[in-house]
Amino acid sequence: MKVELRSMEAALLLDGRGSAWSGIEETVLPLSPSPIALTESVSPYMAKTSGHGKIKKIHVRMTHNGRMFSMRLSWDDPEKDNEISDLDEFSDAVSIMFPLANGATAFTMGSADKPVNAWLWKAGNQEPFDVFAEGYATSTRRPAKISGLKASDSHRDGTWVVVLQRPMSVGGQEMVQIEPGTDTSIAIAVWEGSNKERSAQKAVSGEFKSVKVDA
Amino acid sequence: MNETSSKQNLKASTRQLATVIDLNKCMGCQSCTVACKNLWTQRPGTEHMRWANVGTYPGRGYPRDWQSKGGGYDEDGNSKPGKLINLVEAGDNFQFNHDEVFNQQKGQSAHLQPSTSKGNKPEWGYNWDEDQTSGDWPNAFFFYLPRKCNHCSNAPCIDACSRNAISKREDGIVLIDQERCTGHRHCVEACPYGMVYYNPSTGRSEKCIECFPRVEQSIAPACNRQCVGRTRAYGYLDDKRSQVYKLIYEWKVALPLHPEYGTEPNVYYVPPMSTFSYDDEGRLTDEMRIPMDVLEEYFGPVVNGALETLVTERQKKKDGESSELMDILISRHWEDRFAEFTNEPI
Ligand code: HEM
Ligand code: SF4
Ligand code: SF4
Repeated sequence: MKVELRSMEAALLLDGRGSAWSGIEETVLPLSPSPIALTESVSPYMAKTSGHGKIKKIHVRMTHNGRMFSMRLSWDDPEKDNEISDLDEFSDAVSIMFPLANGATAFTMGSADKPVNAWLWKAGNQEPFDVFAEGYATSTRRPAKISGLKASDSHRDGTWVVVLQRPMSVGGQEMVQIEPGTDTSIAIAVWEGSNKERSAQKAVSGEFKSVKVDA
Repeated sequence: MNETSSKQNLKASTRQLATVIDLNKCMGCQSCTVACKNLWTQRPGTEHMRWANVGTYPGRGYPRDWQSKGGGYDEDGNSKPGKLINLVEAGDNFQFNHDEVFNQQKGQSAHLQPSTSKGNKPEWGYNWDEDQTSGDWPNAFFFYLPRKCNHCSNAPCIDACSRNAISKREDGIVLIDQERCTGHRHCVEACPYGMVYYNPSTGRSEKCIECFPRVEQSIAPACNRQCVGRTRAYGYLDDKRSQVYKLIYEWKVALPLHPEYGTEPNVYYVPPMSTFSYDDEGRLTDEMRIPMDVLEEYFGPVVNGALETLVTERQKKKDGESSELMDILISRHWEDRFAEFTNEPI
């Protein structure tokens, strides 16, 4: 996978279905149900559940213009879950995770000395969350403004298109820095609301995959 | 510290507050429900919540069918899967056509009627099966069952939370940290008593907070203090002078509800003695109307011994003798019931 360099106005890319995205290389990542039994110690109740991981693949495109990193995520989902109108309903969500230390693993969502940074889009929310985690049960949602994270979404013809955008270099602590010419790694998770997926109940892309960032 | 021991830490406390409710005196007035609602659940997204609630049993209970929702632990201490609770089951937030009936002068044609928060005709609601009875005439029976979070000593909601947002305080009160909670609702599934509610406005789960700001000022929780039936006692389980201690440990007449759920709940009930039955000839017998298997289902086999004690002690009073147990349960002075928690609410 790679992040293509395009000198394009970032604002144009917020339109996930716009022409700005055509021609940018697309990778299709297979997804599989998260290995939920691993969460026994943080939630024995959740660890015993099954039937999660309904979404089977996700289409990924990434680009940057030297200052702004943009990512377009799309997946088939005939049921749009963005409004919670009952107490047993959940919304669709997608997240991309980056390691913040060498050797951090996606399957554990990081660990005490090897944290991870994730961006979380949730259908129906005004803004995405910037998440910091050091292992299961530790994730902290931070407001998007701390890193300048932006999101846009559109659901049409049974497909979600979500764009996540963030300045490549950010001042704050505990946030991934994306540098032209330096490889990074990503892992992706998708939650299907109609299947009551949340926390570890999700579909994941597996361990971190290396991504080339064009200079 | 590994994660398992962190759950143990989250569940640990030095003392444990407990409530005793005498079901012989509860009259189903719902003062406890209203006292709680007025204090805590009038915010947006909490309309359906009754942290304190009273059901009529037999009946489907509140939240509806909570006794078959699952959760809790099996005999070996393994977690048992449980279900989420939807708006209808949680009693909803009925709206009434007051305007139509009172302001539009349609009083003759339109009748005051509730609709669900989704605008439908209600199919079920809070206190829906009030005073529904069981048993055959003339031996009909029912009893009220006031409930709230049990602040369990082995709380499955704490185990279930994938974010470790739920914990027990030093005094035994179990709280959901509203800053850490992100509304995943694993706790809703895990609580076998159905005492966790989702707030769709905040996107977080909520439950009874045992009026901790009052408790910290030595004021009894509102449901206990406002109980007009004087059914309730409150205090620390290890306070030997408290009525709570005496009823649970000395007299052994206050029993946990569904102990088989394995959560070590801290609301205890004095089981209902119930009216005597009539036989086929219409003569009063000394048989209690509520069948023992019904009570055993709620409190386990120990309920037999508790009822025996209650009947024996009641008889003493009837015979003009004294009974410490009956004096406790009569509760002439409300202060006696609440140990050190007798300060006035401000
Ligand atoms: C592979 C990519 C993954 C990504 C991008 C990811 C992302 C996230 C995010 C953003 C949250 C916070 C959700 C929220 O705030 O609502 C979360 C929660 C959680 N995830 Fe993951 N996750 C991944 C993999 C996994 C795996 C493999 C497991 C374990 C089987 C797991 C277990 C959990 C648990 C237990 C939670 C809830 C606790 C918490 O919020 O800290 N995750 N995940
Ligand atoms: S009654 Fe339910 S919510 Fe209350 S402590 Fe026990 S398990 Fe948790
Ligand atoms: S206030 Fe007391 S008497 Fe009234 S319903 Fe509640 S527990 Fe029963």
